[in-house]
Amino acid sequence: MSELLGLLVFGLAIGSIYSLIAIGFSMIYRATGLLHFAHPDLMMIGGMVGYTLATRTQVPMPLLFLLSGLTVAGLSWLIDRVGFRPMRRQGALLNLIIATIGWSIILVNVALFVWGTAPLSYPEAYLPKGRMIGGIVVVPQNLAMLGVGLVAMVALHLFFTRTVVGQALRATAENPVAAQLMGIRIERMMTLTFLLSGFLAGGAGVLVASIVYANFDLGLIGIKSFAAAVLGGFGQVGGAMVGGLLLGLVETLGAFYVSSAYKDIIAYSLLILILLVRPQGLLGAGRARPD
Amino acid sequence: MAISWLRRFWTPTSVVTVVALAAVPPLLSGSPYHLFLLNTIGVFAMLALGLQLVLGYGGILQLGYAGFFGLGAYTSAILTAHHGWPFPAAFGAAMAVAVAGAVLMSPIVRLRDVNFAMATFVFGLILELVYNQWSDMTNGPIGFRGIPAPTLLGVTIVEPHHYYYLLFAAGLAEYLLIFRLLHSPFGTALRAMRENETACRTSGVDVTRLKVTLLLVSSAVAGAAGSLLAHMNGFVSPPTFGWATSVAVLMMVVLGGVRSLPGAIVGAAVIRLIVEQTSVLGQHSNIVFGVALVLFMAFLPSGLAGLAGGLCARLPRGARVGARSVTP
Repeated sequence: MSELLGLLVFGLAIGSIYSLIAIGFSMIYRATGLLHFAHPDLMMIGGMVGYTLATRTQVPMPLLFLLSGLTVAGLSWLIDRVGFRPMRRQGALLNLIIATIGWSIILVNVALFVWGTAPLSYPEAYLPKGRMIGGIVVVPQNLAMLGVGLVAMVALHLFFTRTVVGQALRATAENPVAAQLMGIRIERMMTLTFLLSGFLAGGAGVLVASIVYANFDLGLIGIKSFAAAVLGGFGQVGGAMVGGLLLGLVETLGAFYVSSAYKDIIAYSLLILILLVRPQGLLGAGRARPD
Repeated sequence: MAISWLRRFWTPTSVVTVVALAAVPPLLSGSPYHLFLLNTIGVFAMLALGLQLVLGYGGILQLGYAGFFGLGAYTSAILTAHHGWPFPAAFGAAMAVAVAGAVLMSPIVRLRDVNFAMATFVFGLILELVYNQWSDMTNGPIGFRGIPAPTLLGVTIVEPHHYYYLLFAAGLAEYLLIFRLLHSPFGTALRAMRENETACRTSGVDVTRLKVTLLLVSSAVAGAAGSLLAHMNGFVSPPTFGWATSVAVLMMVVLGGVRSLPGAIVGAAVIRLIVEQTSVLGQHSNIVFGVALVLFMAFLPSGLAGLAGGLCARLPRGARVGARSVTP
C-alpha cells in the first residue's frame, strides 16, 4: 500500500514536469502552428544552467527554478526573434518545422561544447532524499515538484481565463487573423508565448536534472512530453496538464508492474492510436485545430 | 507514350553523369577508404531519393524514415546470417518487410500536417526501440555482426569497387522508378495535391491513396538501401536507424534542394563528406548541421538545386524558378 502511494506520488511528480513542458509546447503550437522540436532541448539547457548556478552559488531550489526559467525564457525569445519570426512572414510551415530541428541540433551541440559529455549530478543539497514518516518513505523533493507543478498550472489557468493578456493569448491561438482584427498585436502575443513557454521549460529542466542528471541528451525525456501534449489534445493548455500527469502515472506504474523494457514501445503505440481515434485528445470535446 | 519519360531522362547531361559515375571506381581503385566512402554515399543517396519523393514531391513530413531503413537492414541481415537465405531473396524480403511496416503505419495518412508528422516521428521512435529491445532478433544495442557478403549469379561481391556497381545499378533503377512515377498521371496528381489538397480532393483525386502509395514506395526504397548497407558493412546497430539518421537524410534533401532528384544525390554526398570531416574534427562540429539547416530553411529553402537553377536563370526570382524547372 505504501509502495503504491510512493509510486503514485513519484508518477505525479514526473507527470507535473511533463505537464510544464507540454503546456509550453501546446501554447506554441496553438499560437504559431509550429511543432517545436527544440522545445525539449530548451528544457535541457534549463537543467544545465541550473547545474552551473547550483554549483557556483548554492541558491535555494525555488530561486534556481526562477533563474533558470528566466534564462531559458530569454533564449526561447531569442530563437523566435532571430530564427522563426523572419520565416513566419514567408509562411512555409514545413520549412519552419525543419528549422526547429536545426535549432535542436544547435542547442545540443552548444550544451556539449559548454558542459561536456559527462552526466552532471547536482550538489548534494539539491538531491532528493527519502524520509521515513509513519512507516512510509516520503521524498520531499517529489512532493515539492508536484507542488511547484500544480501551483504553476493553477497560476497559468488563472492567467489564461482571468486576465486580459491571457485571453488575448488564447484568442491569438484560436484565430490569429480575427485576433488581429480585434486589435490584438499578435506578434507581441507570440513573443509572450515563447517567453512563457521558455520559462516553463527552463524551470522543468531544473526539476528533471536535479532528480536524474544534467546532460546534453536530457531532451530525450522532454520528447515524451510531446506525447503528453497529444494525450491532452494538441493546443489545449488544460489538456496538456492532465496529459502530462496521466503520462507520468502510466509510465511509473507501467515500469513497476509491467516490463520496463517495453514500456516506451507500449506508450508510443498508444500515442499513435490516440492520434488516430481521438485527434482532439482524450479529454477534448471540441474539434481539433482544423488545419 | 510509354517511351516519352525515358526520352526525357536521357538528356546529354544525364548521359554524361551516368557514364561519369560508372567510371569512378577505376579512378579510385588505389584507395579503399575513398571507395568505402563513395559506397556509403551511394546508400544514403538511395535513401535521400526516397525521402525526396515523400517530402519534396509529396510535401509530406515523414520523420521516421530511418526506421524503415532499419527494417530492410535487419530483415536482410537475419535472413542471410541466421537462416541461410540467398542474397536476392533476402533483398526482396527486406523491401517486402519495409513495405509491410509502411502498411502498418498507413492509417495515419488520415491525419493532417502536424499530427501526421508527429505520428511518423513516434513511429520512428518505436522502431528504434524495437531494434534496441528485441535482442533475440537484432542482438540489441551491441549490434548485429557476421552479415555475409552478397552472392549474385554465383559471384560473391566482396571488393568495394565491385559493390559499387551493385549500388550503382540499384540506385539507377530507383532513380528511373521515381522519375517514371513523377512523369506519369501520378506525378501530376502529386503536384495538384501539394499545391492545394482540398481542391485536388474535390477534383476527384484519391488523395489518401496517393499518400499511401508515397509511403509504400519510399519505404520499399529505404528497405532496399538498408539491405545494401547491411551486406556492405557486415554489421548493423540500432543508432544507424534512429532519429539522428532520419534528420541526416532530411538534411540531404533540404540541402540538395526540395523537388530535385539530382539535388538529393548531391545532398547525400555533401552531408556524408561533412560527417567524415567532423569525425576528424571532433564532436562539437555537428553544430554545422544545425546552423546549415536553419540557414537553408530561412534563406534558401530550394536548396543547392535552387541556387544552381537561380544562377543559370540569372533572374531576380531565379531561386524559385530553378526549383520549379526541375518539377515535371
